[in-house]
Amino acid sequence: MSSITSPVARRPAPTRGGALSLSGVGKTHRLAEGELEVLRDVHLSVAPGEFVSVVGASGCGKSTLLRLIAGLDNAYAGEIRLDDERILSPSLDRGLVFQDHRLFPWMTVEQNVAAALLKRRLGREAKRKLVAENLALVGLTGFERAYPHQLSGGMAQRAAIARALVNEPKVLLLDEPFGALDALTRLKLQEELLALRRRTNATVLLVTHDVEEALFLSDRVVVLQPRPGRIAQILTVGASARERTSPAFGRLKEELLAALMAGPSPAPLDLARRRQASSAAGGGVG
Amino acid sequence: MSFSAQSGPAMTGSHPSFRLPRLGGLKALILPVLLFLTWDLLARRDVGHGMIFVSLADLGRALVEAVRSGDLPRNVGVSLLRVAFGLVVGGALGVLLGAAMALSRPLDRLLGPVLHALRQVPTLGWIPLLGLWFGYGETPKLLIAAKAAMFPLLLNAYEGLKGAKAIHLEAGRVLGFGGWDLFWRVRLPSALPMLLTGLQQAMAFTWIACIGVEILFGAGPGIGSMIEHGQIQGRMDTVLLGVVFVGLIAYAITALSNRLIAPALRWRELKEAS
Amino acid sequence: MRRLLSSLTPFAGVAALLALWWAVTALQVFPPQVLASPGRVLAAARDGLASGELLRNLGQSLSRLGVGYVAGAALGLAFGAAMALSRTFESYTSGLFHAIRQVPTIAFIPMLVLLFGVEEVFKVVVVAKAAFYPTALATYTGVQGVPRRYYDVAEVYRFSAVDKLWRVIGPATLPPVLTGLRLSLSRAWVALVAAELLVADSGVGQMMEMGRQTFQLEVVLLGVVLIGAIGFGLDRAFKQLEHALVRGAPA
Repeated sequence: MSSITSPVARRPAPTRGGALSLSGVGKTHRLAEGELEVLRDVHLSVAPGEFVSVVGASGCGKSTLLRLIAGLDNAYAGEIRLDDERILSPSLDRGLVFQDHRLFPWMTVEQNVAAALLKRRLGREAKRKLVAENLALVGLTGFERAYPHQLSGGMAQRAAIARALVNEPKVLLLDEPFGALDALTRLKLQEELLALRRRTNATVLLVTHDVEEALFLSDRVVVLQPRPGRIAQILTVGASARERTSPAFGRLKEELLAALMAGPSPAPLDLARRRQASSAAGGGVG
Repeated sequence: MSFSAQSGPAMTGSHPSFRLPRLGGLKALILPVLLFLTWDLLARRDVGHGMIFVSLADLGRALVEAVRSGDLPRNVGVSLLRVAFGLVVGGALGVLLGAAMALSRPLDRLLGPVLHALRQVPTLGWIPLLGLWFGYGETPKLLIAAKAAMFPLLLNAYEGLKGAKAIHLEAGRVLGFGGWDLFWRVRLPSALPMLLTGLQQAMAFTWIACIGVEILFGAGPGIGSMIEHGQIQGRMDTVLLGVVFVGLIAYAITALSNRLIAPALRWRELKEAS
Repeated sequence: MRRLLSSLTPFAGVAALLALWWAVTALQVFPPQVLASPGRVLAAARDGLASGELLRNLGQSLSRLGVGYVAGAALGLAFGAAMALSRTFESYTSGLFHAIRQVPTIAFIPMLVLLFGVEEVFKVVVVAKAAFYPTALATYTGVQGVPRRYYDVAEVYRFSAVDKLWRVIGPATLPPVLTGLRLSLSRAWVALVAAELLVADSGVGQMMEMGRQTFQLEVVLLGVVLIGAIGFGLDRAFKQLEHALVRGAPA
């Protein structure tokens, strides 16, 4: 059953995670052929420590949304706030894991993770410790001196996750992190991400096209509709739906898939706005 | 209209000349040895009157004499010094210009076409002009050396810095890197392989250019001048000695530079074996 | 339209250089004995054309280039292919091949003067030596790089040796060999200029050297322009040839 858009009530999380709030976020690309509206009117609140997945077909703007939250792009309509502060540029508060691991090829695994600590005022020993801890967290102890080209896809992605976590960010953003990996590795890393999440308590926002992955990992799943990207639905995943083999899981999965297949249809909120806009003879969003 | 869009004839580009050959063991020596023996035989029979064939004994004597008199070391030293000058001055200029052009689009558009056109004239083609302007002394030789070193490094610095992948720059931004950090920690390291290749090319080209200008000018110290003097005097032994050393040093430069840059290239994927 | 523009870009460089040159001389940044204006160089060219000297020199240079290049490149093709196809051949010849390769062509010039004198033969040999190596190396690498599977297919279809050469090795190696041939051409041109500068009896190099000795700045500059222009032209023409022959390969 679909649910309300308010955040799930939780036990007060041990402070690490940050609270994200998006209001009226929209993004329009200006192309030679005209304007392309990629996101429209996205409202979302993520509670500290919550794990939220964003799913949607290709072109629905989910990656764009993540990049806006990361601060890589600050030309957008609306507001994005982390713990009530506006997000305008990248910051160590928000860690980002890309689909292609984006480890620097000229640095070893250790150096890559340490690169995230560059802008921190910490002693050399303290940094070394942090790097070692986070590598242990992702199970890469022993591979410190390896170069990215020597690692398998799964290992490289683990290193990328360690790099994103080493700063103990308030929010961890993942953009289809396991998309480029084979099925078995993907399953394994999903388990590891879950374990990691339990240990670090960061707020996590995961973009994925894999419905099962979203259900397995998240507290809530946001479904994005394409062209333009809007929130179609938000589902809450209860504890009973956590098992991949449980009937609740199956039902939610069907619901999600149905929502994804439904295709672009105006959300009720949207219809109301449109009527308003046409009566005011106003233009589009963005 | 970027600088590197076309490669002119004066540039060798990526040429496998830096991969040194695997010699087939002893068999490879058979032909050279045979050649030397024939040479020696013909010289001793005085075919060509010492102008063409030199006996091995004479060659040996010339070598010993050149070393003992200090001629050979001095000539080699001077040539190498010129190369060093060219590399430092021309190379630094090339790297700076190439970097500037990679980082500044207006500068690229301004200088790129002009430099590309100038590149079409081979280094040796400038020699008569420089000779007209500066005479036969040291200056034109040093200028030629600098010119030869400049272009490979300019081109490679440009391509290397420009080619920094957007994905890495973005990853840097996510980690909080600002402008300086992005240059120093992302662009520069990713450009290093190309820069080092450019350095190798520059070393080879500058060596050749130095020898060339020394031969064409003939005056002053240097291995090229030594060879040219030998030719004017009809002394094949000196000429041959010079040629052998030019080749040896060219080989040494390539071999040494390969060794030196190998560790810096460790992180690259090995696409082809050897 | 875009293709037309992109084919013009190299000329934009020349145009920019010419503009800069003209501006520098018009503003008299350097005294006229140091840098002659494009106008004076053009006048020298016209004089040279009128007297027939320019064309004669060009003709001599280009014909030497032609003969030497064809000889050197053909030998290079044969040698490179032989070295790649026959392990025995390679093991016997590689010593001498690579030893001579280390020596830059220009260093050989005085030696070749002693061996062949200063006539045409000498110049053709210089050009041939310069043309030999890039082609030989490119052919060697190209033929070596033909994947094993192609030979296997040829076996299955019972290709004769000639067939193999024509239908398998040839097409598979065409791109790298063409690149090697192009490189050979540009090296050959440079070597020719060097030889003509040293032994200045005829040709473009001689024209330049004479200009230098008689302090005729315009003639020397004309030489510089010609050398660059011809080198560029040859390279460009070859690239077009490559593009036409190797459909589908990046130009």
